[in-house]
This record gives sequence, structure tokens and C-alpha cells, in this order.
Amino acid sequence: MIKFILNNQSVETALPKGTTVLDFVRYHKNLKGTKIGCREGDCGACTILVGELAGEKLKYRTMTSCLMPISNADGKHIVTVEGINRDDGGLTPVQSAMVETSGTQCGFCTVGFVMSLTNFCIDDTPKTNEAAISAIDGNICRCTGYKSIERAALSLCGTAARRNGDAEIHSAIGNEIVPEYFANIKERLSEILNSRFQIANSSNRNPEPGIQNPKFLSGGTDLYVQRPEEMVYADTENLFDSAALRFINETDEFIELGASVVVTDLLESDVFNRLFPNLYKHLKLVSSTPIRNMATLAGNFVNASPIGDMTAWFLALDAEIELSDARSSTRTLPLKDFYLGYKQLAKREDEFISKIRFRKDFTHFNFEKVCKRTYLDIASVNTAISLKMSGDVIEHAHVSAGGVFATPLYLRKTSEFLKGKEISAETIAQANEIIQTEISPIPDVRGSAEYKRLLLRQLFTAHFVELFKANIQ
Amino acid sequence: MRYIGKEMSRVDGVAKVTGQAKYAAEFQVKNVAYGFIVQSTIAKGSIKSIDTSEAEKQSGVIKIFTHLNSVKRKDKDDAFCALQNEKIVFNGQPIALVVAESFEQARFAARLVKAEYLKEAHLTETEKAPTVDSRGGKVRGNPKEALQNAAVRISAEYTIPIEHHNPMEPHAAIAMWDGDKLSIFDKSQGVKEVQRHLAKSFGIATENVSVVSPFVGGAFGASLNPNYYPFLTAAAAREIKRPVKVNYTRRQMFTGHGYRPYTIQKVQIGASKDGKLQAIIHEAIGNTSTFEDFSETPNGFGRTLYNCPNYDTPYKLAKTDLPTPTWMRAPGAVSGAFAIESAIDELAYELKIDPLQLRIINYAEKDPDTGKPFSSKALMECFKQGAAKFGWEKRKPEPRSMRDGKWLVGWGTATGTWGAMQLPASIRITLKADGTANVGSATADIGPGTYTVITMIAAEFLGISPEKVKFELGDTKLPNAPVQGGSFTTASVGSAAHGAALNIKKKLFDFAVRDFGFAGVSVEDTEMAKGFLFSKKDNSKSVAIADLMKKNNLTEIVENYTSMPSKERNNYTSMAHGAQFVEVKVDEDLGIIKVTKVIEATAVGKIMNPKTSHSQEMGGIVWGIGMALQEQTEIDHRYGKMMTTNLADYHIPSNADVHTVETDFIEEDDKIINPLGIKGMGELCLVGIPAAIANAVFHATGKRIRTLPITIDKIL
Repeated sequence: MIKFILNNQSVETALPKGTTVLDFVRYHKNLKGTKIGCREGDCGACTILVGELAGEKLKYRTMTSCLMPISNADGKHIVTVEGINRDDGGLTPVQSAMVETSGTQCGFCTVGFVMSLTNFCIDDTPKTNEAAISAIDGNICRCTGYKSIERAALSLCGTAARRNGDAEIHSAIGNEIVPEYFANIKERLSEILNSRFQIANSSNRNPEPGIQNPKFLSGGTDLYVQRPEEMVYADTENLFDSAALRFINETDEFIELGASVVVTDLLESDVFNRLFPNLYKHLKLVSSTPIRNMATLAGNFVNASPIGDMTAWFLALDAEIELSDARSSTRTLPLKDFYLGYKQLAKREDEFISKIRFRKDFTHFNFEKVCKRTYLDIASVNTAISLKMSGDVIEHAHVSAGGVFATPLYLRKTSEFLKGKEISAETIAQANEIIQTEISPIPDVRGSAEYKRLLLRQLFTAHFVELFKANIQ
Repeated sequence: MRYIGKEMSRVDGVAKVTGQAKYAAEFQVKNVAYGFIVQSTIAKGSIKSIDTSEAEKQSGVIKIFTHLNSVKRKDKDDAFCALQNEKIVFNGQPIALVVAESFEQARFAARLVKAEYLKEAHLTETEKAPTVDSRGGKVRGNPKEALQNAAVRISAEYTIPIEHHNPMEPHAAIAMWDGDKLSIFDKSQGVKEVQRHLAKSFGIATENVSVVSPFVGGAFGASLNPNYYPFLTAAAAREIKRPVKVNYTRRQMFTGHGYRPYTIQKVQIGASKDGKLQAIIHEAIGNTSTFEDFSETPNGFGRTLYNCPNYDTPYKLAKTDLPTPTWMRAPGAVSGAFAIESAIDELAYELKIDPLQLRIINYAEKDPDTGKPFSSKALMECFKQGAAKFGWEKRKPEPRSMRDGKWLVGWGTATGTWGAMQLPASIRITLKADGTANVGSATADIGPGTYTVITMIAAEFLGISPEKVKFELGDTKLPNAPVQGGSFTTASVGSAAHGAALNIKKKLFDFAVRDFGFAGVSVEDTEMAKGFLFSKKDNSKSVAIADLMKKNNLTEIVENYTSMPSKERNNYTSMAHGAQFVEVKVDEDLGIIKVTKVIEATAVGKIMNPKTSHSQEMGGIVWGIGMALQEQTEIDHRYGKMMTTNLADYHIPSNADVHTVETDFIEEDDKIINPLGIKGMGELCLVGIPAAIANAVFHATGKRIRTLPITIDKIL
């Protein structure tokens, strides 16, 4: 039995646990404010708030309900627009702003924007103009041309920043961003979580057609795009909410991460912000806010998309992954050895990624990506690099590239070549020649093979322009 | 004017921001079953066999319809109709409808329907497909000869890929029968069209079909024609004797409602050395399906724009094994404008004349096709005001001559035009003694703000506040209105609202003359406001509307009114015009293009509601940015299959792609087009944008990109 709070209502359901939250709220709860625009996490019309207890803190994030199984809602607070609407028929400041700026035309994307902006008003990020605009990076509008919605977003910065010394959620209630009942959600979620052990064992085998694959489900952002009809009935093990898989630890030598860490966790991690000074600049190019809130590192690795952003990132850190199985036997292998061919992995079916770790001994890191659209895009080509510099000399280097091979690609020869070299225009030119021998891009909708070759050449050079502005001119 | 011309927030805003606005798929219907469409995997041939047995065994499945057991249409036309026979005419064609108790069950079972095909060779490349002649307009003068004699000539070919509307709301219908009577909730730009289509298809009386569509989550032309799913849905509902809902998936939309056709255009221009146009030959080929002709005459654009004595616009359709294209925002015009307005820019460089100046040199003071005057045309003011605001005079003429750090900067301009049409439209206004009014017309509001503007017009002329007006649309029980398309809704339905309100005033005035001493006052000198009818000239002549009704034992006055385009319009050509000024910045190393500034000045008659109007214009500009830089439905010709059928691969701009966008209106006082001086704007705002961007890209990079979209690989 899956149990969570939907708006102000405690719900339990024995529906197939792969049912999406979107279908649950619309078909089973008749809450139709949440819209179906694409069912693939691209448009943001189905954006909801998901409140989760993290220790003592109740934290809300936006997610696209179309890619979220109800099993991932278990023990959480799911908020649709009906859950923020005021009883007295008035509007919240977010809703008022959207009406007054003419931020709604046909209205179909509107609720998604309202939810994203509501989350902006209740989360603990600084209420800057930039953050307000970023908050709607996962929402597409086809009517307004966005300018009016931007004005709505910017107008909210003041309201959202009004704190009166209260915790976020109490400020938000005071500012009428969310209704009163939000005040008790923390306690109500604790109760659910405390009672969970009794129900955890009652298995949820559904009577629907049983599809055995895939075995594991994490954030769902790829699987629900690729095989939605099966996922509803699939009997998967949920890795997304396993506390054992949601940590970021620092040791003297390593950073260790649980495999279900999502991209946003990295953004909010002090350790990561220290190690990667441009973290925000780089990660904001990865998909969109709701997807970053759902997409796990392991999911990105296992999906094995040749242009997975996080895969390229961790390949350039020469990360290792730990694979576990049901018997809790584990083994470790370098991420670069994980990819055998297109979507083929060095992984048994009953294994899942449990841990990721990388050495922190690099001195420089950079990530570059080119795509047609600024947000919500899949890269044409991406690349990442980490370097350990000793003076002007590269002690070691790891370079990765995406979109130029059948798998995410660790550039072995290039990385090896850079070792011991001084950074110079010549080194970069030579490395670029080696890169061209290591890649074999195929033409597709994101560009011709020739174009991708050219792009990687430019992006590889861009790493050095970005990291060593003066040295290579 | 109290309301007209003033900013007003949309009246449906509250319903939309709270999620209470009901779209087609959202009506709560008891006992509804869910249909899921199964699509063909070949582009041409026929179904040899179709096996539904495995799918039928799945839990929840009620019935599976194929061409073998489906309802056949009574009245045939060329439009595609699902499950009528074994023939496959495009890839992605519906071959079965699985109906089940839940959406998930229907979708799961749908993938177990197996078809075997007899394949035939298909052809989906417009360049290679056989063509037929289509209407291309009369030849003006002697273009061939004039072209040969011209001092300066240019010739270039422009290509536009297939594009899809991608409104945020996927198409959906819920159909239910009560005996011989059909009710359907549908996503529609014109409920009366769907009503006619379904009545004919089932062979039932028109009045036995009710179509309801109060909110439409964007459509942009994709719901102008009745698509195949309403009949499919209604047929399934009739057979299983239960309500049925069918909702396209995002992917199904790419083959479910048409698209902007693939268009190849060749433009030849001859001009004198001082820039005077001598001849234009603008040839166009657009793709269509094998079973239906769709023509949008892209090369018609330009005929009214330039004062060019010799003009020819031959037009052909290429018959491809794809679904039929359809109207997509600014159909024809935006495609034609990309070609002509790029070509004019090319000519400007050839002649070394500023591109804006070249347009001014060839400015048409009257319609060059008919010789008729324009009922109004403030394009010259658009040029001046737009250029001044943009700072056009600072433009350096040479390509690659302007920079901002590592970015190449380019400035481009183009012109847009769109017909200011008006169609017959009916409305019913009921003014009640309590000072409220109900207004109804079977028009649609797909997003531009029709609910709001008709409310404002009714409020203005009934003399009551907009909050007292309840305007209903999107329902076949309401008086006839044209489809919402062609930017003619406000001109048509707004004129009806105006006329109906004036007639109500006239009725009240007649009572006032008879009963309240208004003799000697002319109706034109009276006004209604704050519950009174009064003379604007004589303070003593004033009477409460409630009293007028009471005296005549009335609780309300009902006026059914049909507005018609005036005869006087025939003596004029009526167009909306606009000038676009665009700045792009191009990263020379990576080929990234940013549209950093768009200034658009448009002359679209009288602006009813600046707030919704600006929003509509900005949205159109962003459509232009998408068309110029991102949008493209790619086809894998080996399978004749559309490939970029989701929003991850079919790119429409996200908010980070949109930088400075400003829209200005040059108001025109045009009483010839209609009493309120309304032209349309929803399409005009997009028309010149792709060309202006392409021209700016040329100015920045020296590369003339003649194939849209202008992707980074074309720049490098």
C-alpha cells in the first residue's frame, strides 16, 4: 500500500505502483488542474510540488508528475494546483501576478508555471531575478512569448523574500503563497514515515499484466519516456527513496555519492560547490529544474545515452561505480569500463549501481555543451575535463565527450597524451588531432557527423580558454 | 471609450491560473471508456492482416476497432478518415482503436495489436514527388520579359521544412450518444465545423450533434478542420454504447492534425539600378498528401506589398505519402515572406542600397494587383517608428562589420502583411433589467483573448461594466460564428457584438421616445451607461433602463444579430502591416545564434485591448524565432516516417531563448473595414520574423541561409 499526502488529504492506494502521479491525480482523484502536455517531461504542464522530509527539514521541489511513479510519492506531500488554491476564491500572489501580467493566454501551460513559481517562493534559494527566471526553465509556453511570464516571475521576488524571521513554509503561509494546512504537513509526514515499517513488507504485487523488466527504478525520467506503457505494471524495486543511496560524503581522498543522488542534490551540496566553482553555471544547462530534481546519477549512467550530461561529467572525474545485487555482494569498476557498446553495460540484470566515488585531487574542471535550445535540450555534443596541474605541467588529465560515439566516451588516448604536457596552443592542437581519431559520430537530428567533429574540436579548445584564459593566446 | 482601447486583464485568467478552466479531455463523464490509437508502421501499402487477439485478452479491454469492424463514414470527402479500409496512405496512420476501462489498460493493450502489411514503395521527399498545378494568382504584366531586361537580377531558392503547431494541449474528444443524438466535447477552433462534419459522417441531422469546446489549450490552425479523432471517438462510443474518450499523445499529434507544408520557393527579381523593382517571378512548390490537395499559396504574399509592374506566382503541389498539411499560424504568408523578404534583402546588398530604403523605394501606395486603394496602410509609419526605436540608422551596411566582443552582431529587417478579413458572424445578447448581460456566439478562444475582447465590446456599448457581462462561446447551441482562424475573429464577432448592442439601444430608445419624452432626440446622440439611457446633448433626457423594461413588462431584451462585411469594403484592399527589426549575435567559433533584440511595429487598425494584444504579438514573434532557428519535423525517408515527434526533439523556444522583444502599435482609424476599425494581428506578428532573422544572420556572418531552420551546423 502506498501512502502519501495529496494536497490536504491523506491517501492510500493499492493501484499498480508504476501508475504515474499525473494519472493518479487526474483519473483517480479528478484533480484536472494538472495538465497532460507531453508525458515525457519536456513541457512542464504537469509540474507539481513534492514535499519530502529530509531529517528535520521539510523540503519542496518541483517534479514533472508524468514521469513520477506513485511509488516515488510514498511518504511525501504531493501538491497540485488544487492544493494551493485559496478557499475564498481569491488568488495567491503567484496566480495574481500571472493574471495581471497577461502571463496566461490559452492557459494550458499556466498551471505548470504557477507551480514552478510557487516553489520558487517557498524554497530557500535567494530570491534573485536570475533564480526567478531559472525557476521556470522547465516550463514551455507556446502562446505568450514568455515576456509576460518573466514579468510575473520578477514581480514575485519581493513577496517571496519577505521572511519575518519565520521558516520558509511559515513565511509562505504568511505571504499567502500556500494555504494554512501546509503548517502541519511536517508532522503528518513524520507519522506516515513512522508507521511505514509495518506496511513496508506487504508486497504490492499487482494483478495487471506482469512485466518483469526492468528490475530497478530510480527517478524514472528515462524509463517513463522510453516504455511508459510497461512501466505502469512493471514490478520494479524502487531505488529513488532508499536513504542508503542518497548521501554525499567527503573523505581525505574521495568524494563518495549514493547512486540515487539527483542533480539538484549536487547543486545544493557545499562540497560540490567548493570543488566545482562553476557548478551552477554548468548544471543549469542540464535539462530543467524539475528533471534535475528527479534524475539520479545512477539513472543517467545506466541509461547510457551517448550524450548524457552527468555521464560525461563523471567520466571526466574518472569516477568508479560500485555495483550491488540482492545478495548484497558488491564489486567496483571504473565508470569508463561500464560501457561495452550502444546501450550495453558491464552489469548483470540483477545488479544496480549503489555508490559512485571519485578522487578529489584534480585542480581544474570544466564542462561544455552545445545545443539548439538553451534549456530543456539534449546536447548535440558535450565534453568535460579534469586536470591536475603542477605549475604549468599537467600531472594527469581525464577528458570525456558525449554525442560523438555509440556510448558516453572517455577519451583514453587524449587523456594519456595530456599527461606531462605543458598547456600551450600546440598541446591543444595536438590533443584535438588525437580526439578526432578516438571519436566516430553519427549524423542525426542534432547535427551531421562533420558538424559534431567540428563542435568537439571547438569545445575542447573552449575548456582551455575557460580554464587558462591567458595561457594559450 | 470606457473599456475599448484600455488595458484589461483577461476575464478567463482566474479560471486558468487556478486550473479550473476545463479543456476537452477534462469533462467528468460517467462510465467513460478510454480509446488508444494504434498507428501504422509503414507509409504506403495495405493491411494484409491484423491480429487483435492478444490485445483483447488483456484486462480491462472492452473492444478493439479495426477497418474490419469499424463504423464507415456515410458522407465521403477527400479528408482522411480512420479505419475505413485496408489502405495505408501515411506512416503513423491509425489502424486500430483499443477501447478499455482505463487509459493505462488501453495503452498497454495497444502495443499488442499486430499488423502485417503488403508494402508498396513510398515517396516522402517533396523534391522528388510528382506535382500538380494549383492556384497561383494571375500573371501581372510580362514578368519574363521584364526580368530579362532588368539591369540587376537575383535568383535564389528557399526551403522551409515541415513544421508542427505543437499547441500545449494535445487534441482530445469525449463522445456520448443518447439514441440518435451525439454530444461531444472536443478541442476545436470552430464547433460548428465539427458539428457539420459529424452530422454528415453519421448521416444524422445537424441539430442532433452537440459540440462543446469552451477552452482550447492553443491550436494555431491544428483544430481548424475537424480532425480524424472526433469521428473515431464518436463511432466507438456508438458501438460500445458508452461514452468514449480519445486523447492524442504528443507523438500522435504529429500525424493527427496536419502541419505546415514543406515548401520550396524560387524567387527571381529584376530591378533597375536605383532599386525600382521591375519583375518578380516567385515560384512555389508545397507538399500535400496523395489523397487530398492542400494549398496555402505562399507566393501570394508579396503581390500586394511591392509596387512591381510585372509579377508571376506559379504554384504547384507535390503529392507525397504523408498526411495532408493544414493551416498553421500565418499559413502561406510566413513561408512566402521568408522567401520574398530574404530575396529583397539579397537584392539590397546587390544594389548597395539599405534594405529598409529599398522597401521604401518600392512602397505600394495602392494595391498593385487590383489598383484599389488601401482602406488604411500605416506601414510607412511602422518603418519610421520601428527603425527609430531600434536605432537602425547606426547600422553599418557591410556584413561582418559589427561586433560585441567575441560575438558577431547582425541587424536585419523584413516586412509582414496579412489580410484584414471579416466574415459573417452571429451573436445573441440578452440585456437584463438588473443590468447584467448574457452574450453568446459559437466562436472560440484558443488563447488570444476572445472571451475578454467580446466582453469589453459588449460592456462598452451596453454601458455596463465588464463584470456584468457573461460571454459564452465554444458551444453549438450558440449562434453561428466562423472558425477562429485567419485573424478575423475580433473583426467578425466583435462587429456582431457591437451591432447587437446598438440594436438593443435602439429598442430601448424607441421605448424612451414613446414613453419617456425622448421625442426630438436622435438615437445617435444617446448613450447607455450606469443603468441609464440618456442624451449626450440634453441632460434632462435620461431614463433608467430598468424603468424602460418595467414599463413594457420586460425583464430582459434579447437581440439576435448577424454582422456582415460591408459592401464598401469591396472598393478597397484591406491589410494589416508590420515592420520587424532584429538583432542577432552569433558565436563564430560555436555557431550559436542568439536573437538578442526584436522590435516590431505593426499597424493593425484599432487596438481593442493593449494588454492581450501585446501578449499576442510577442507570442507571434517567438513563433518566428522558433521557425527561424529551431523548428523542424525531420523525416526518415527510408521509412517515410516523421522522426522528431516529441518536444525533446521538435524544438520550440524556451524562455531562455527569448531576449528583448518589444511590440509597438501604430493605430489606424479605418472605418471602412468595420465600424470599430478592427484588423487582425495574431498571424501578422509572425509573418516577417523568420526573414528578418535570416537577414540579420547574413549581416552578422556573411552567410545567406536559405533553408530553415538556421541551425548552428549551417553557420559553421
